[in-house]
Amino acid sequence: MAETAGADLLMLLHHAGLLLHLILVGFAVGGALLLCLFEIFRGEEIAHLERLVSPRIAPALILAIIAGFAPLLLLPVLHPLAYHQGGALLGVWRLAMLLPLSVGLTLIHLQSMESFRRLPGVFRFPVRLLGLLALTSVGALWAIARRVGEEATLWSARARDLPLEGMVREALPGIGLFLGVSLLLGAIGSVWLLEGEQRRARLSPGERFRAEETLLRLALLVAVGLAIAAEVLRARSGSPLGAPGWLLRGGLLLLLAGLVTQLQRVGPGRTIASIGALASLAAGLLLREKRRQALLAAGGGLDTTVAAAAGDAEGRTVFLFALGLSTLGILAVLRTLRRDAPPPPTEEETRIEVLS
Amino acid sequence: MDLPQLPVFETELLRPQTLLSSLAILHALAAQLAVGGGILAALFEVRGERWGEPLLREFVHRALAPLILIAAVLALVSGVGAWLATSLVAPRASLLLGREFIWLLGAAGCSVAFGVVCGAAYLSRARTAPARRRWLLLGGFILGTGLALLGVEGVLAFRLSPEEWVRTGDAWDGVLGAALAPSLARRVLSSLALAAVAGLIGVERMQGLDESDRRLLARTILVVLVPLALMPMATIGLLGVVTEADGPAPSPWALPLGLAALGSLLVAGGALALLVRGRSRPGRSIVVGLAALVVGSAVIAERARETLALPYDIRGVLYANGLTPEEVDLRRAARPRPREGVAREEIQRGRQVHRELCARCHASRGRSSIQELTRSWDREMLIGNLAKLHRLQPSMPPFAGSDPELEELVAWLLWTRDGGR
Repeated sequence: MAETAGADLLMLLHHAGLLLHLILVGFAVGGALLLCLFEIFRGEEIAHLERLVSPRIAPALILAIIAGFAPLLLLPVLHPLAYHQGGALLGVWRLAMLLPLSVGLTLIHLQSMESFRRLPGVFRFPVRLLGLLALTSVGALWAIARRVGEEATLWSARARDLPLEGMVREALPGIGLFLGVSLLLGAIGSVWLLEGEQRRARLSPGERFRAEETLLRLALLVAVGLAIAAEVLRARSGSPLGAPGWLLRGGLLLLLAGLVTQLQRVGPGRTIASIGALASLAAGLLLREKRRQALLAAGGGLDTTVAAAAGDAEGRTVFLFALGLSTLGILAVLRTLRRDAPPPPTEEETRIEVLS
Repeated sequence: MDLPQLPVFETELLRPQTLLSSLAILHALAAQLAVGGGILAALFEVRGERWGEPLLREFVHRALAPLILIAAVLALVSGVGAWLATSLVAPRASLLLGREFIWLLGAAGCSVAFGVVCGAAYLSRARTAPARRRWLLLGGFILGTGLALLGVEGVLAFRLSPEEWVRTGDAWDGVLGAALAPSLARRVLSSLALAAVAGLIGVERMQGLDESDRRLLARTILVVLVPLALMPMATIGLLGVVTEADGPAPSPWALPLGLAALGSLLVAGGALALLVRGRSRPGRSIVVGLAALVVGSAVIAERARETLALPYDIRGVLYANGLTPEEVDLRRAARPRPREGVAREEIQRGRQVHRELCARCHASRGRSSIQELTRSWDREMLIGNLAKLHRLQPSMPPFAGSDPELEELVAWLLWTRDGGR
């Protein structure tokens, strides 16, 4: 009984860690993408978004890496064969991920620095774009390595025979989906940030609504695209909808309803849209994990030794204690940060910083 | 112990062990620099407040804070790399460690998250927040990263002293093994030394300071180097654990580790002498020398730690080629396969033996490949030496195959030497 509970908890932690990782990565990549788009189309909202989104992208990315440790640690334990098959056949690719990750992280941190944000767009844009490309390539490399790991027929194939071209082609829609979801999360996150700025009287209602409207329209466009793509893909696959499928459909409906409500300003649209986005993301994640679960079930379920280790009640208590305490501590720190937020720099301070 | 057979990762680009060691050493140095930087920043914060010296706080903002940020981020990215490389190069060891210490590693991850959030909050509010809040945030950073260091160190030290775990099967006995205390002491001292050296470089490079300012900063940092005098004791403790398990034969890493400890002793003595002399501070050439000594010692110690368990990944439990001692015995006792196959089949079986027993550390081509290392051996030498490699080279695990398998391996080796691929 304890073993089953422990194994279930491990699965839950894997999914929860992955979800948190995707949300944070989505916000970081989506934020950078939004800034690039506004820079291209010369949107006047860029000034507000730069001030709000830009400094939050790098911390989001760092937290995403920490959250990503959960699935990274649990994957080889829960799905050893699929994970190590991907590693053995594409090991260099998997490690190659570190290079774009480092480049992306450095560029994203650079663009979030106050002095950098004061530079002309011609300098800011390429840095953000390169950072974005680097992070997108991390996602693509990981998606390909995961695909190889799950393809049981490749197990006996030699690395040089891998149909990599086909896999890269297959990964392209996934990259599109990743960028779309990121844009959506970046837009919704920015809407929340704009509201906070108005509450602190750093933004006039007019400025907030103008920026918010552009973001919501963009998010609506992406959400409609994602909803259509989800339905087309499901119809093509011909598989039954299932619980995650219904959750995805419901989440996307909520998301669309929330975005429209927020645009019309007739209710708590922002909250509804956020819940819808999270539900859709969770459903997408469950659908994505389906193949791994099927592999696991075909292999006779979780390894008995893993289940036994997961059932260690003492270890589980220590972990849950650490998790609870860390979460409370992090929330307390974030609350302090919000309460003590310094006033925006004056013109004089900004001038001095740029000069320095 | 029930460990599944896992695919072998083989690359000709570089020796897999070198790849793993490089990433692990980079991660260890960056993480130690971040933790040590946090402790040094706390010391400067407290002294700055108590002595009423704004310069000490200014130094934290201008030199230590960026250092902690860069080191922490580098530690995170290299930590991802080190874990990916471990699971590629030593899949069975990483699986064993992962599943045995899953909850402990999870708890360490939670601590890191808390520590990093506190550190980021400290960096963003270091100039504006009141002293008490700054200290709390810095304390949170040290507590979070320190607890994570303790957890991860427990798992790493387990590789050197798993005896109690083998006896009881309890994960906590594994983590709290004999190697933990000396190993942790070495890490903490090394963290302080790395941060102190980085701080001294910061003092040299910081602009707008006069001589008395630099002296004040340097002397505050030198205090942190004095505890390095304890490094030889920690090293003796660690080597004692290894020697106790191995018998009287000294580890090949005893000398480099001893030299590294001696280097630390020299650094501590130098720091103490400068503190006692009153008004002097280390000049630029001394700082460069100290940095070389501290970083060199840290790298040697990390490299030694990576290889101290050899020929095992986990001492007495899992050989470096991913086989358990029981599996080696079973393979050797297995009934020999019939040998009436044609030469081509023998070569194919030899290639398979290489993949199963050797490929984890020695690829089939390139530098450090089995071909390169055995190039000057003829057939008889190949058979004789491969069968008793663990006696010729103590870091090698015993050859786990049967006699026919050895001959098949040699046949494949000779075939590749003649240009076969």
